[in-house]
Amino acid sequence: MNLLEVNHISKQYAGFALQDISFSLPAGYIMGYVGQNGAGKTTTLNIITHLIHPNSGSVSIDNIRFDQDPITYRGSIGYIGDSSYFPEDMNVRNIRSILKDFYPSFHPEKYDEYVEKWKLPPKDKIKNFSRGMKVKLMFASVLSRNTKLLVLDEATNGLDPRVRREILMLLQDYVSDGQKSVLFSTHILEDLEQIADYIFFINHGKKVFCDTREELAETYLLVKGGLQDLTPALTPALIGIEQNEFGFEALYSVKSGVILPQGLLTARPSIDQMIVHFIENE
Amino acid sequence: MKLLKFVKIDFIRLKTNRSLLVLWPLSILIIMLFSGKANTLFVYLYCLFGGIIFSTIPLDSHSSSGFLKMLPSKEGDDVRGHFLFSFCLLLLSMLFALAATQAVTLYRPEFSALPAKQVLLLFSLSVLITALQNLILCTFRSNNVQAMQMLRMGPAFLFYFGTLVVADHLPKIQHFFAGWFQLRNVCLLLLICFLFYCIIAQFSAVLISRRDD
Repeated sequence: MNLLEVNHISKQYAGFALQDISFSLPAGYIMGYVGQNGAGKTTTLNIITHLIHPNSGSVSIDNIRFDQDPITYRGSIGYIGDSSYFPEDMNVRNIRSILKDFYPSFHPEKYDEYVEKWKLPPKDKIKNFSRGMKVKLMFASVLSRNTKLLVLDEATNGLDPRVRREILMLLQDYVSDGQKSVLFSTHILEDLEQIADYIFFINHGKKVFCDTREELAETYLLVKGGLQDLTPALTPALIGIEQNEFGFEALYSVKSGVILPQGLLTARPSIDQMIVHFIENE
Repeated sequence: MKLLKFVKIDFIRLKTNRSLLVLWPLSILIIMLFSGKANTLFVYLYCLFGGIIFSTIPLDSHSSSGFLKMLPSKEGDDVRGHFLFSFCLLLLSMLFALAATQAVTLYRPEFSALPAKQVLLLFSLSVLITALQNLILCTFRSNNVQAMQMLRMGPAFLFYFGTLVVADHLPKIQHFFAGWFQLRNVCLLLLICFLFYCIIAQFSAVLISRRDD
């Protein structure tokens, strides 16, 4: 069952357009949403969280659209951004009070546990928190209530490796019951290598690919060879060819039907390598 | 009920300025107790002036947040909640002004209480000004700090000095509107201002719900 359904959403800005983005995310899985700066990642996530309105298309979470039931829709999302979205003049206790008022599924004792575990000062104003503390407070606020979809917009950027690892473990734990999902936008692709089940790559407002990591790993190979191996027969099957005086490196699609000549080095590409070559191809 | 929860959030945000919240009414009381002017109009003016200014604190553009926008509620509830908060603050200001007036007249017998119709007229004016102020602050955004400061302070000063100008010319105005300036008409005016306030609140909520954040 698809927990998140994004259907043909578009958004027009001066100088940028998000064009016809569609994807679905089943319950119990993590999707990495990747792309260059300005590709449209945050715009997509803001449409999903209903912070902005799409020009066309629709989004549903657990078969509920925002216009059908805004309260349930918003209640089912846990959002964590790259910067703190709490009012800076509030403190941890104020946030607890607001969460308790608005979310029937909020568990104050769980919130208190996270606050104590991560040593967040309850009376200090949020504006005095470090970036890591602000991210932890965002996580405390979403993990202490029942949500169905976690949306992370570059939430782990700038965090130290220990905290990042802790967050990745939290995310895996979050989806482990098979009822909830995570949509994770990040530039730190090695994080996605560890936890993502699906990868959606967006570039210049358009979808480039969206598939499971396994399928991507089976579809593409990283090939390297000498310049003499770059034949007219082979070139159409290659994506994002990078050449230098010693040879070339490119992504090869096994579905292209072109047989790789012998002598070329092949390897399974990382997500990072796939994206770099796709960007190169554009 | 959601509106009341948003009102509670605004009061939480107001508490961050608690020193000002305590000093303001205290200073009014002290000034009036020792003031040479035996006019309780100033008590109402100062209190309502403070109420109008304080109601802008949660709308400070630098402290607007995605957390509040994403709270599970219908679109526009946060805006309606803020209008309700502003109205509550005006009511509290009026109550304090009434209490302060009583306190002042106890110690300064030369002070006379303001007639009820003038009190209601002041309150109507403050409701009107606050409605327009909230509409402007909810819908207009700028990164220019000075421009936003002027927008926050302007309506309150307009109310204060505008009222003083009117008060100076009150005998002429009362003579001109002699037939109209009765208590029941002033009550009707207050009702109209309140309805206007509600309409502006709803209008602002709809306007902002259609806007991207």
